[in-house]
Parts: sequence; structure tokens; C-alpha cells
Amino acid sequence: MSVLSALYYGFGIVLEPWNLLSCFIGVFIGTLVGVLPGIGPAGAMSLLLPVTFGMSPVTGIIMLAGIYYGTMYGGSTTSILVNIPGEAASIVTCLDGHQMALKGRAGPALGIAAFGSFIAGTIGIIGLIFMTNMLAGVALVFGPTEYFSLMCLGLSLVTYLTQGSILRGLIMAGVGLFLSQIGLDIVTGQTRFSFGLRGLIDGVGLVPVIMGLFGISEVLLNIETLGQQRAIMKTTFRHLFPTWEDWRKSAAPIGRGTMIGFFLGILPGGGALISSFVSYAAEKWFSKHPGEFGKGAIEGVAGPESANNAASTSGFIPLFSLGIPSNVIMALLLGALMIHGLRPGPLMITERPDIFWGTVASMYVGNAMLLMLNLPLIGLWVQVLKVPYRTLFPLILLFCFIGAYSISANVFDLYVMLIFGVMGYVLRKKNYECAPLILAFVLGPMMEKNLRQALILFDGNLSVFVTRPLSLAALVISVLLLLSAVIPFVQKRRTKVIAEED
Amino acid sequence: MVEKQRGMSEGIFWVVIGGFICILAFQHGLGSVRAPGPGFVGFLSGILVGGVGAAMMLSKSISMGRGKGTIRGAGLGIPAVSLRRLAYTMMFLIAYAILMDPLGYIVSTFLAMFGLFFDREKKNWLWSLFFSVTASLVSYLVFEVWLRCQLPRGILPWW
Repeated sequence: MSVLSALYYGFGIVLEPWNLLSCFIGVFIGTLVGVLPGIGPAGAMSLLLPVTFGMSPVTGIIMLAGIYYGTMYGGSTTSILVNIPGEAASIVTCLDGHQMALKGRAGPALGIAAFGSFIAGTIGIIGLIFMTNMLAGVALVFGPTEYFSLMCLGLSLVTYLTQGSILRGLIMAGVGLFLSQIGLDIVTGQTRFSFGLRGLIDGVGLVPVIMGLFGISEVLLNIETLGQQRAIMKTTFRHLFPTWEDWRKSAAPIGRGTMIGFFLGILPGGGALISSFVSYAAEKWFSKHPGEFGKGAIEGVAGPESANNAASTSGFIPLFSLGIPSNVIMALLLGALMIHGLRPGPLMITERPDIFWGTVASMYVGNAMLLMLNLPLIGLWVQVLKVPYRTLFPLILLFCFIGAYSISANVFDLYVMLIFGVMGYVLRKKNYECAPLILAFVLGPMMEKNLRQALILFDGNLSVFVTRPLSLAALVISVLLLLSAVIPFVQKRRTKVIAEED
Repeated sequence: MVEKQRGMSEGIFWVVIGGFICILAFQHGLGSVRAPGPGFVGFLSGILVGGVGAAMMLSKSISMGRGKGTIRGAGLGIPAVSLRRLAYTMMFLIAYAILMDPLGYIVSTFLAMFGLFFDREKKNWLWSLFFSVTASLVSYLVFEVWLRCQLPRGILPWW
């Protein structure tokens, strides 16, 4: 099947009424989540994961993917209007976007963010099609050693890029790996680490863990500051469309942001957050007037917003081609696919073309929907921001409870969720990031399977991990990354980047 | 000095956790490198947690150069008002989890939502009542009736 005919096939799937509706619901909820500070894309996706159980896999994945890239779109609105990023990848948009709003140019800032995101998202999808096919072809020759080493690399990168101490990131990865071991052993079928609890025989559920660590803990953190009002500026949106001068200034930043976001998004741990910061730094470097940055330069909005959208698209490449999630959102999508009985990897494109091409085509449709949603409905999103958190948080908690319970209709999952909620709250207060824990938790069973397979296959010969070129390269990079964090110069640079992000 | 002590105690905590994981993994059987047992990867994770905890313990400062990190890491730092709010919310959440099966979805959700929506300072009884009834019924219709999720029936078996 050629790319064009495959894409035509994908559009046939996404244009089915239910899929179209789920795409719309996904991008709508995604934008809403992006607008509302306090609920990240991971939390929103885990809340809605149980809703997808009653749907066909392709419909469910279309909706979850829509939430993800919808969040990237919506996050810019709060950054520009309230100076509060709706989600982490929009932090950098606050710098110039809010300054533009203060100067009465909120409309062009929101407009260029939406158009830039649309352009980057569309280009990102084209790259996704070609790169996934190419990488899937190469991945067919990978053995368990390569897979194990690539997963180690992914985990090291995510740990390296966590905000805070790398030691804490490593501990989180270790805890996630241990949690993934609870339940039945994949080889012997023996129950392990279940502490005699029947609820743990099948292991710890992904959804209760994610809902606890992201949903419940987020609510508990926000409850601390309950009652504090957000200052929302009054803005008129008469001049929503950027002027020709704005377009002239933004064209190159959108192009560069798209490239930066696309390639950083593929890397494990890269993702939307890092790419938006790199894009901002690049624009400042390329600009003839770097002094204008931070004072309302439209390039400072166009570049990062394009970058985070391109990254959210290209993040699907390692998931669809290798079956390895590059960040926590992709780990969640992997979990969703597995719950639906699918196993992403190099064979998925040929075995389940409906999932791959349906999702790709839904991204085109979703991007167009987002453009239509974001520009005319900005007034509505601003109104949404006025909903007090006191009204929102009980509803978020209710969704968490329904989500955790409905997976296996078992109250035990609610206890697991509450335990992880409190654990996530304490960990986040103590400056521990939950992303390495979740990624290790999702990758754990796959890492174990590949490690044990490799050891059995090569008769316990550990040198096989360093004699195969790709495996060696992945392991060397992992070790260098982790070691580099303790080298004073690198540590200083890393600290500086994290401090800027904070 | 206080910061160093905190780093030490944090490190000790993770060394203990890592050691505990290793013991559990050992009990389940580590196997050999040729034929890894059920506890093999668990043991490695215990080594990772304990090893990094030991490194944390030995390092002079756990978050070198991160001013903000050390401030945030310095205890949980929860004001008394927030602590009361957290305890109040957690109490309702635990009660909700315990009562969901015996009372059923609608009744337990109504009670939990009423408690969570209720603002103890403003005493907004009617407002809480309206929102808790609406939230329970709408969520029931969406998840049980429309999406066919299996929610507990409890004392209202006909629902």
C-alpha cells in the first residue's frame, strides 16, 4: 500500500461518524485541559482512559491522541492571558506572550500561537508518516538485546531530563521498575511481591497508579492554595489575526520551531517541554534584536508554540515503530493500546493498519478542528478560566474514582489509587518527579522480558549487550548521560536550564 | 548542617527501601545469569534504589546548586489551614472508597460530593446539595447508562 492510498484509507476510518466525534471530543477536552491550570495531559488522559474501554481501539486511541495535542494548543491561552501556563510545555510562552497581551496584542499572540501550532502539527504529521515507516523497517532486525538497551536509554534520558536531582530521578525509576514486577512472573507464572493480597496477584494497575500520582496528588497540591483567585486580564479580541508584519517576523521561527520540535520529540525524554525551551533559545540567538525577547517579541511565541506541537506529533514515532514510549504521555498511550489487546511495534503498521493510519489521519482532522476551536472560542476559554477550583476539584476526584473503579469493578483499585495519590503528593512536595516512575513502570515488564530472553538465548553471556553495535551505542549513551550529571560543568549547565524552566 | 542531615536521612530511607526490595526479591528466587528467576529484575531494582540512596547519603548535598530544590525539599512545609483542608478531603476520599461497595455508586457519590463541595467557611448547604445531586446523577447516566461501566449498586439494587 503506497503512502497516499494508506492515508486515503486512514481518512476513510477517521471520517466515520463515531471516530469523527471521538476526535472532536478529544481535541475539545484537550483544549479545555490545556486552558485549565492544574490538570495536565497525563491526568486528563488517565481520567478518560476508562471511557475508551467501551469503544473500538481505533476510536479510543483517536480520542486520547486528540487530548494530547489539544492540550498543547490550549496551554498557550492561559500563558498569554493569565501568565499561568496551562501545561508545562507552554511555560516559555508566558515570557513574550503575556507581555504582548499587556501591550494590547493578546489577539495576535493567540492567533500566531494557533496558526504556528497548526502549521507545525501538519508538517509533523508528514514527518511522522515517513519516519515511522522507515524506523519500523529497521526495527524488524532488532533482537532482545537491542530492545533492552534502547529501553535503558529511554529511561536514562527521561531521568536525566527530570526537573530536580538526577539521583531522585534514578530512585523513582528504580521504584517504578520494582512496582512493575508485582504480580505473576512472565516465565514461571509464580506470584511475586504481592504480600498475600489477592488484589495484587495480577499486578498493580496502570490506571490507578497514574490517577493517584497525577490526578489525586495534583488536586491535593492545589487544595493547599484553595481560595487564591487568578487575575484574568480584560482583553478584547477584535484583532485576532496577526498582521503581515507579524507573519513576516514569525515565518522563520515557525519553520525552525517545527524542525527543532520534530527532532527533539522523537528522542526519548525530549518531548514538548524541552523543545519549546530550545526553540526559544534558538530564536533569541537568531534574532537581530535579542533584547526584545521577554518584552513581547512575537518570535518568542511563534517558535516555542510550533516546537511543542511538532514534538507532540513526532513523539508517536518511537511508539508506533518500536513500541517504546518516549515520554510519560506515550507510556500512557502504550498502556491504553495494551489494554485494548494491541502491541505497538514494527509489525503494527502492517498487522493493524487501521490503528496507525486512522490515528495519523485523525491528527490532520484534529489539527483543523483545533484551529477552528481555538480562534473563535477564545472568549469561551477565558470564561472557563473563571470557574473556581473549589467547584472543579470534587469533579476531578469523582472522575478519578470512576476511572479507577470501572477498569475491573474492584474497590481495591480505589485504595491503590489513594495510596499512590498520597505518595505522589509527598514525593512532589519533596521535589521528586513522577515521570521516571511511570515510564519505568510501563517499560518494566518489557525490559524484563527482553533481558531474560537475551540472557537465556545467549546462555548468560552478558557481553552480548556490548558486542552488538546498536545495543552498545545505547548503553554507552545511557552511562555517559548519567555520569555527565555528576561532572561539575554539566551539572551547572543542567541546573541552569532547570532553574530557567522553574 | 540541617540540610546535610535531611540528605542523610533521605538517603538512609532509600537504602532501607532498597534493602527491603532486595530481601523480597531474594526470597522469590534470583535464579542465575543463564536462567534468571522471578526475583531477578526486582533485585536489580532494589540495588538501584539502595545504591542511589547510598550515593545520596554520601553526597554532601542532595540537590547541589539547586536553591529552589533545597527550599522545597526542606520538610513538607504545609500551613495549618492547608493541612486541615487536606485532612478533610482525604477523610472524604477514604470514606468514599470504603462506602462505595456497600452503599452503591449513587448514594456514596452523593455523600462524598456533598462533603467535598461544601465550603465550611461559607456554609453553602443549598449550593453543595445542588451540585452533589447533579454530579451523582449526571455521572451515573453517562458512565452506567450510556458507557455501560459497571458501577456498584449497593442499597439501591434496582438502579
